[in-house]
Amino acid sequence: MKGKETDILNSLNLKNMPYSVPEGYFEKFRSEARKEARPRRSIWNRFAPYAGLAASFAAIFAIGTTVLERTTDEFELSQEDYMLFADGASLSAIYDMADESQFAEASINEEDIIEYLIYSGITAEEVEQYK
Amino acid sequence: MTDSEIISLYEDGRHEEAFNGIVDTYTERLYWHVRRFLCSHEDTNDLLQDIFIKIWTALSTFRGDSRLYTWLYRIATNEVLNHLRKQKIKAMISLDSAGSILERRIDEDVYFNGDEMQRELHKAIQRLPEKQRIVFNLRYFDEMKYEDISEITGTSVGALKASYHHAYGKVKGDLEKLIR
Repeated sequence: MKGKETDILNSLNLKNMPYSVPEGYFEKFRSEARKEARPRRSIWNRFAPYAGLAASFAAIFAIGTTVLERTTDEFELSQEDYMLFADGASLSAIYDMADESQFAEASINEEDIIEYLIYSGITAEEVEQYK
Repeated sequence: MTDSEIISLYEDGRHEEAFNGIVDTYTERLYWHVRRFLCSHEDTNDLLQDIFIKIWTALSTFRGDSRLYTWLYRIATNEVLNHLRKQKIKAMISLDSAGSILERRIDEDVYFNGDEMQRELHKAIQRLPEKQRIVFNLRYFDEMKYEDISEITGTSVGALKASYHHAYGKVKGDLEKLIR
């Protein structure tokens, strides 16, 4: 007990708060802090209509895509259609697309080739040379 | 407003009113709790705003496992510790010690109205290690029970008693040196 009486931390009035605050500080702080709860709620309120609009567009797009996918018939291009639209394709691509039997059926003999070469501007001598 | 009134407001879905109840009841208590660590009014004011934002955002996570007031003190104490750690890093960069910065703040504080012994007491507290400073402030000034401090800090009662004993001895020693 005697020790407690001589204890500086007990004997002096040190527990009193030595700090102070500006006048009206706590009232001002409380009113500011109370507002803190409101802006956070109103941010959602402010953006909720836009979020709803965006969600509606997304839903319309998704439904439209699904309906179109289910209602549109898939059509297949025939071999001839491919050949018709193959202007831009390379010669080898057209060859790849064609059925080999189409070429086999066409009987091309040596005379036809010579005729084609001469028609293309190659002289008869040159044809003879490579024959 | 009591803690149970605040909690029942929240449970009724009246979140804003519950938060306002916390603001009304705890602003001053949390302010002084923070101020004892940070010394400066401006720093305390800034941190207290952050603390209330944290409380507002974390309110939905309060499950009632701990009492409301220890939960609030825990948020405040964690924020204080984070702030002090950042200050410590800044002090290291400026080749100063965090303790001496805080001691200087006490000397420069225009809102410090205490006498010389109180000034030395608060300087001595700033020289304590982090954990000892927490337990000393909560026990000596707020006269909080060890069980409550344990809920706030997550440290066992036994360890807290030991920390307080060490802190008390150091602070007492520092003050006694001044009056000899």
